[in-house]
Amino acid sequence: MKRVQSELVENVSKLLRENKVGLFIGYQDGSLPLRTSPCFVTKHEDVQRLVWNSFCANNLSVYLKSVLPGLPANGRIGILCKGCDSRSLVNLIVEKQVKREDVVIIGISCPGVVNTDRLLAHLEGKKIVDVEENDEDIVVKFDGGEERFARRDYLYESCLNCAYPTPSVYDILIRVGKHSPKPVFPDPMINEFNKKSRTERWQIFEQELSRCIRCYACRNACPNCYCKECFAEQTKPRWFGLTNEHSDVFFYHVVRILHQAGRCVDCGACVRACPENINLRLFTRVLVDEVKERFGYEPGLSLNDSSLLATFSTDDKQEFMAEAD
Amino acid sequence: MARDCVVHNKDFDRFLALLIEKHSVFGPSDNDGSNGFTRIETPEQIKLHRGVAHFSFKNFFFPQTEVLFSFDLASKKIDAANKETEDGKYDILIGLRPCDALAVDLLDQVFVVPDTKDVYYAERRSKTRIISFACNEPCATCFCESVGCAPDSEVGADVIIYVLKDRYIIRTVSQAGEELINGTGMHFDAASEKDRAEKEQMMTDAKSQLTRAFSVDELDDKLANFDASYWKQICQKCIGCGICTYFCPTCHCFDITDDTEGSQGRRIRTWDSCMYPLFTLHASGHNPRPTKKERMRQRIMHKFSYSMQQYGRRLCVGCGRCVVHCPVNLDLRAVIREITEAK
Amino acid sequence: MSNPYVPMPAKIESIVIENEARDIKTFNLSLMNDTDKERFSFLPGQFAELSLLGIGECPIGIASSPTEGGCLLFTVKRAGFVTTQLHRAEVGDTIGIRGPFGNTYPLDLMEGKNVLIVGGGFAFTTLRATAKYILEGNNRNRFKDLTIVYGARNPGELIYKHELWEWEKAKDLKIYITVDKGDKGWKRREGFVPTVLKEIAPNSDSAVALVCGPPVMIKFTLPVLLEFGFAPETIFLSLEMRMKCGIGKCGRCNIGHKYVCKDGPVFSYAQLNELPQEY
Repeated sequence: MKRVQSELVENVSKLLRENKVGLFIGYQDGSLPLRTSPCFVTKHEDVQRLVWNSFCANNLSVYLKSVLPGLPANGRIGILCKGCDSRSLVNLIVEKQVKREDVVIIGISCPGVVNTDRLLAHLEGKKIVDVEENDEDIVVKFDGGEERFARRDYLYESCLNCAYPTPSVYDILIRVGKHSPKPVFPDPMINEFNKKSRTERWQIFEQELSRCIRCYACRNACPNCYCKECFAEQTKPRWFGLTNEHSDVFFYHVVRILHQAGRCVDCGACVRACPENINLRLFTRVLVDEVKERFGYEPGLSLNDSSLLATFSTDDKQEFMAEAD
Repeated sequence: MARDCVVHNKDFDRFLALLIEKHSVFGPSDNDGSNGFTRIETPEQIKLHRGVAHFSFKNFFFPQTEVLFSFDLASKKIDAANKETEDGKYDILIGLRPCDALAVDLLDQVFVVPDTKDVYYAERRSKTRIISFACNEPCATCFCESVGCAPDSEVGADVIIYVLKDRYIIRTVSQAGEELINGTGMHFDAASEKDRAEKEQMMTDAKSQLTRAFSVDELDDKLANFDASYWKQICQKCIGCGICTYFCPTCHCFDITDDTEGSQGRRIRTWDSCMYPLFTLHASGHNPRPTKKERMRQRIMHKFSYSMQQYGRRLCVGCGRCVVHCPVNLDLRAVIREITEAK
Repeated sequence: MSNPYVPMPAKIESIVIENEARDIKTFNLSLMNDTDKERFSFLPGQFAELSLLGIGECPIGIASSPTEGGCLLFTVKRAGFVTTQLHRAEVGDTIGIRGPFGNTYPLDLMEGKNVLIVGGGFAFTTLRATAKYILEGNNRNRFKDLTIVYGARNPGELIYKHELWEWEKAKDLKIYITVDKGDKGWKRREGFVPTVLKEIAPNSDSAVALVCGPPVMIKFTLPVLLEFGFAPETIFLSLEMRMKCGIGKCGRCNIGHKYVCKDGPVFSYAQLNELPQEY
């Protein structure tokens, strides 16, 4: 990890010094244990703040979906992308929200991000002093001892079956470990879910969403949600109510997730952002699997892609139009 | 007037049961849903977590969704339901930490204290009594002392309870609290010097666990510079979700909309957030706060500066929820520190 | 405890289309309940929330003076969701009123002084209320000279046209009507409001100026007033903001620590200079 971090710092320092970018977006140490926080570096003296570890969770492409205040005059932004982040970025480029030439991408082939909450829960409130990592393990040192965890046991769900840890687009690539997973379709979690009865599935849906407080963190953390006026807040017309009652909450989630069809790269940013730990992936991943099955398409893999639902091909499957329920 | 009573562990459930019998009791439990509190039917239901509860208790007096009135579009008749209070019967909100109790007092400044009162909040507030629990173990993210609160602050509470090793000290803070305790009909021993000393020691220990996050002394001067350059950097990480405002016990911005189905409808009040771009968008298209820089500045200024001028109080109790839940770890403590240290 | 969120029912007595573009209408409303009529006591400068059940509310300045006997005039431009629906309303319809809200023009300060009213476009509404108030028989000698400078983009956009022509003929005030660009039939002056103001060289001795108009007009009017010696404490503006509750609780309409709905909408230029420039 330390090797990766110094490689990263060196690369960013060079980019800034050579004026290839005016701003670099990466991660720095967080103010809470086992967290990092997005970091905006403009001066190469500040590059030492940049870190790389198993807690670099945020999808940084989210900052490219609108104009950043404090954008450098020369306009080019450097960004650190894990596999999933780069797929989000590819999607933003394909949908013409970002120009490829305006970004310099340092890609990291990611070994997976650790679920901080689960790890902290296991540590049961011990006061953490330090964290060390190697290829397989994370060693957490606390007051009175230390404990070793296998990284694989604490990964986020979206990381467990990640098929594309290596970024699909980059200017510089930093490799972390070696692994080449095979894509898994359908997702095992969705497979299990689909085996349940319709009533059971609806109950799970209701139960998960009963915790929703409509904070819109899922939407705001998603790089794909860049509408200047979100359907949830439109007044002309007002599509649905602003309450946190069931019908309004369902409407919001169902429509937002449907808007992700053919675009969601399953980065897990929405799940991580949700303060109520709602398993949003239960809904988003269904669409990811469905899109793969019907169109053979996975977004975010190639800059040459066309936006799926905005493109028509004569050999698109059509049988769903006549399918029984 | 304040009275310190002692209740031993073995009698505490009986004390709670008496309250439950005579009043409607609400508090934190294992299954609070998105409300933050549950109607308590048995003493065992009450679950006090270390430090602050997940949700603030803002929802109790200022629900996320509130029907202001319902109406019929054909007859234009308006029905503003006003709940009647049963004499002598109160709602009790139990299990708040001192920060959350202070937050209620701060929201009172907005909704109840001015001449024009918010009827919905005011009525609920006037028939509610608050029983808080002093903090023995603040969380690492708590910073109540930095904003003038404390693990044993009594502001906003009618009764405050100290949890000692094998007994509780119940202190009545207000006249209403005194009546509440007397109304149980239970006999209470008065707290002894030993009880008080143990309580003091617990509070000293609790306070020693809190680190000073920032100093508000120079904050007023620094925030007077509206056009300071640091706002551009401070807002960069923010993704503009509403988590900080929704979890904050003193954030009170709301929206008013009409919700109709057929010819029936209701005018509802729902939580809103100054962090959303459409919050201040004029019908003409003009937006005084067009980017997240202005919106972040508004949030900080409202909590730490404007509220001082409006109510003489800062609208922050140091509960730390915004720090815990921010998806990008934008730490308010670091922000305020940076502002106070700015040149 | 009266409920400040429940609107009072009012009937639309008449609707006047004010401008050629037909997107500005003046609604004459009368409160339907006697108790509401008694309680609704206001002064020029204040506003009310007009309420359409099932649609929403919009904050509109009260364009009539309390001296006009019972009628409540609201001049509304069709701009957003609610105002569009309001423009579809007809005479005889019932709509709701909440208010009166906000502060008033500084009538106390204006007593014994010359009053200069500068208005532009459809923002003239509460200035009309003030002018009518001053001109009313019993009030007139509380104030000294009344001068009005009022302009619009073109003749079709002038509002309260009939009153404007009457005021031209009246002896107890002086009014300068102008348009940015006239049309074939236009015989009066042409010129931007700030330019016309400069030409008439207002006397700032013992005078108070009330200004209301589009931002660009205000931007160029203020320097003229300052140039002629008006102190910032004697210049008053009425501001607009997105509003919801109207009573300073929903947190939306603030400029710094002032809520435009409660501490405004009337602010002196001196006050505004102390506040963050965020409006």
